Amino acid sequence: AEINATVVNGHPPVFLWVKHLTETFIPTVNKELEGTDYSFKWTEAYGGTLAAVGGELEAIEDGLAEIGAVPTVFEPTALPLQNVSYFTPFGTPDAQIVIDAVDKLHQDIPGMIGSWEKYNAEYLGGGFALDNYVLMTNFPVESMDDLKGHKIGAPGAAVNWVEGTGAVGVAGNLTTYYNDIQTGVFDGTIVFPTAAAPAKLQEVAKHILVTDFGAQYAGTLVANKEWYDDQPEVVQNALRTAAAAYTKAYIAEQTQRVEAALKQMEDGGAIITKLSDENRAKWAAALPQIADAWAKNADEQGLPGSEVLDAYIGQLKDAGVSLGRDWTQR
Amino acid sequence: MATTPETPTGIRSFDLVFRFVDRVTAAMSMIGTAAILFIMCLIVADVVGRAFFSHPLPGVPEIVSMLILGIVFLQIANTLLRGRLTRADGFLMLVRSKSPRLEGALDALMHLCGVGLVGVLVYAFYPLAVRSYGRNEMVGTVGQFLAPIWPTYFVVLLGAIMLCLAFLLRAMQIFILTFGNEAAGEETR
Amino acid sequence: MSGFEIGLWSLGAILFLIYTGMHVAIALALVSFFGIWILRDNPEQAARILSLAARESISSYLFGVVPLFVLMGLVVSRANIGRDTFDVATRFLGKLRGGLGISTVGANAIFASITGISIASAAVFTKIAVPEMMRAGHTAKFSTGVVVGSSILGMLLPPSLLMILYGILAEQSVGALFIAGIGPGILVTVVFCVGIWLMVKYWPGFTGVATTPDVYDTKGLAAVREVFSKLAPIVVLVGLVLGGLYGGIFTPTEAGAVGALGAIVIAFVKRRLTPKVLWQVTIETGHITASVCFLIIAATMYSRMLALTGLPTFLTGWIVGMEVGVYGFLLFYIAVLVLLGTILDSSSILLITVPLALPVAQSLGIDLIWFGMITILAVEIGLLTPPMGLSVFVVKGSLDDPNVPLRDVFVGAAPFAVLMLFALFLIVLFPSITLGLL
Ligand code: NA
Ligand code: NA
Repeated sequence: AEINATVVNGHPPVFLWVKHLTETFIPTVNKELEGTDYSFKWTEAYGGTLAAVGGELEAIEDGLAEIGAVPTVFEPTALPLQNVSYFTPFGTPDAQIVIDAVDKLHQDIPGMIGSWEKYNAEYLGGGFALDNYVLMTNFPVESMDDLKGHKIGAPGAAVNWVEGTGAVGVAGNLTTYYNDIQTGVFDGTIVFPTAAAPAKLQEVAKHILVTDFGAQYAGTLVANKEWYDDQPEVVQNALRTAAAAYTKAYIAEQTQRVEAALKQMEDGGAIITKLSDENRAKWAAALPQIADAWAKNADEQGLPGSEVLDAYIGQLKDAGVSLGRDWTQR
Repeated sequence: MATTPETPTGIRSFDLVFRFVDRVTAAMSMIGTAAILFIMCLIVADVVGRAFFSHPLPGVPEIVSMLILGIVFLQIANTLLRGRLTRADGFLMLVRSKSPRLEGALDALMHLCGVGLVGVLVYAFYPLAVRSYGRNEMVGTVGQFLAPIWPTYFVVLLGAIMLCLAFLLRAMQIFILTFGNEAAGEETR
Repeated sequence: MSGFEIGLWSLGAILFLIYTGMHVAIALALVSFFGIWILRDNPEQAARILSLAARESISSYLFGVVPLFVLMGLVVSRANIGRDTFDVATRFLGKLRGGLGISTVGANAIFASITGISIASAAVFTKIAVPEMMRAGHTAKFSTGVVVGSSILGMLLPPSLLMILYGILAEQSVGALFIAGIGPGILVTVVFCVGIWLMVKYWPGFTGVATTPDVYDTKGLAAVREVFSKLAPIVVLVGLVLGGLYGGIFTPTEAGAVGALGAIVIAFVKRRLTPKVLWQVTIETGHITASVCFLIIAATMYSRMLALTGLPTFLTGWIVGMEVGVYGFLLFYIAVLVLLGTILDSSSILLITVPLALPVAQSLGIDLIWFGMITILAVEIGLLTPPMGLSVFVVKGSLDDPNVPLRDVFVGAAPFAVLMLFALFLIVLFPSITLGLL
């Protein structure tokens, strides 16, 4: 039988998590189903053609799309638990560790799956993450003391990462950083290399400080639950296998791109320095206990916020990560 | 046709209803107008705070995005009734010069299309707004700024309902003015 | 019916409905609704998709500043800042051949740096320049044509609502677009001035023969003081907006708020605004905003429906496959924009075409800032062309003179549309006009 399925994401295909829907996820499902009675007829709806960024979850919930790459980073209030890494900065630069940790949370803590089921969504695995955030500034920075009085543009929750450092965090977004730093609205920004390089941010902010704020869990593949439950087991398995392949291919290409991006910016005149472990710990210690505030906020909504926080940090520790701060110390 | 909600059809009850609805849309439009001035002050305060006091206001992007959606739907019904909703009326003018009755029928039909389309939107949007309220959906970031989004959605819903109503009354008014002389006569008698 | 056919039918249906006089937004949304219904065979889903679009399309910070740019334009027009600029311009340019026309263009170029919409420019200069030019002996056609033509500078020179819109659609930096607009804006200003000079010299039947306006005293303390007093508000406003923008105090999107508040304060100080007038102006701002944004919502619905039909992808492949090259594509694109410009307003055209054309432009390696300026200038030509020429309507509306029929205004604007095409040709041939300042 032929199964109709629409795949949704609000970003255009230049983004890696969209690219691998086309290049990895869909072909893997097709391949897995070869020789079975089932095959897919795909409709791909990216770049706001069905839903804008942040509208994917509702499109899936209402059955407008069957499958989607839902960027949890743009659903901080609908899916708070999946945003744990944004409230535990100075974690690990390794995207694989972050994705594995959050995937394990989904297996261990029922509330994680529950938060998807509330939106009629089936968690397929297939997470994706943003690469290790760094600080890019138009003045040299060695430690947080150099930030005093400077304005730093940061996306969403990352504004919290400069709170208490003496810097002024300003909510901003990628499309305006270049211009805003050039004219002086900000003096720098918190950004990840694979986005900074194509935007040529080093032209206006040549000092790159590798702060190891950490790679961030950004989203995952999900399916409309009613639709998923109606599928035969062989199809369900194919979707899950393809989701795992998706994450694998995603991380492989991202790792390459991160190296290339840093190299490209260095060739373009960027000066890359690394924040020393000592200064990193000092910076992390200066931040307010944002992890606890986040966990309590989730607890109040009846979600296992504190449990997720403890389990997540536990996962990172088990993986041997050198944490800038142990956020479970309340 | 250069009519306004003030143009009498001769059917007193209809005119009263239309004028009342018009007043309601005007009041909604005034709230929207105040919101525009509020956005202006909010952004300037954010700029001044950031540039001169190193204290940007939290949540300005979120507040502005919610307000603009609200403003548009607060204004839209009144915009239609004031004849400011974009259309090309060259063809209607041409028809009018040949046959005012045909033009009236056509124009009323156009407005009925508006009723239908906006009605569909209201129908589809209602469950979304209710769901958003039920979940107490928020915008913003923990630690920075948090606000519920559902009040904005109810404003959108209300604005769309009023727009639907405005299209309907306008269609009826045009229809009555074009064909309703007999009916109007009966009412006044 | 295949998605592709539905896409083509929808285009035809929309053009038909708009021409017959349906509200543009309703026409777009209605066709989208039926289109998605047929595509998905499910009216419920079609309604859901439309309602999601309604909620998502304008709910952003960038759209939040739309009313502020409109408000700034309307306040400066009520505060007679345009008249003062025109007065000063005639002082210095009035003696030239076609001096009043050239003054209008010059004053409009200066005025453009404090307004982001063309209709403000058109309304202001109709009241000021048209009577003056007609009194001097110019024809009504030419006088109104000059105002219609030069009003487009309001959105070609930064700040500009169209650039903000394009920036959103193409994900390009609004600040970069603002800088890129300076070159083309100056070019069009110069082309208009030279065009006026030539028309007055070689085509007096069209322009009418004008007497030289009274020679003002451009020297002496009294004259200096008067020029200063008249120019001060606009200089302060321009300084505030541009200084703040390029001095890093605020972003291009925030400029609307600062500019609007600045204009209100200056108008109050100059005693040219009362709270009551400010309230009326803000209500008008609200209506314009609602009209534009509702159109944007509907256009988003339509572009989503189009995307679902697969027409854009097909079109991209088709044009790239024809291997007409960059210039062939641009020629085709400009022709489409100008054609749409006859019946649609600028923002709708942008919203309908940019999502379609962007992938093609990208695949051809076209610089998207340059592409944006080409798009904006081509779209602005539509402000001048019948049957739906917004600038012409505004001029006709604010002139309020039954002796000047709409037809004459369109005829008067025609040479300026041709001059714009010529300038557009130069901008296509020499990308450095646009990109030189970046
Ligand atoms: Na302008
Ligand atoms: Na036109």
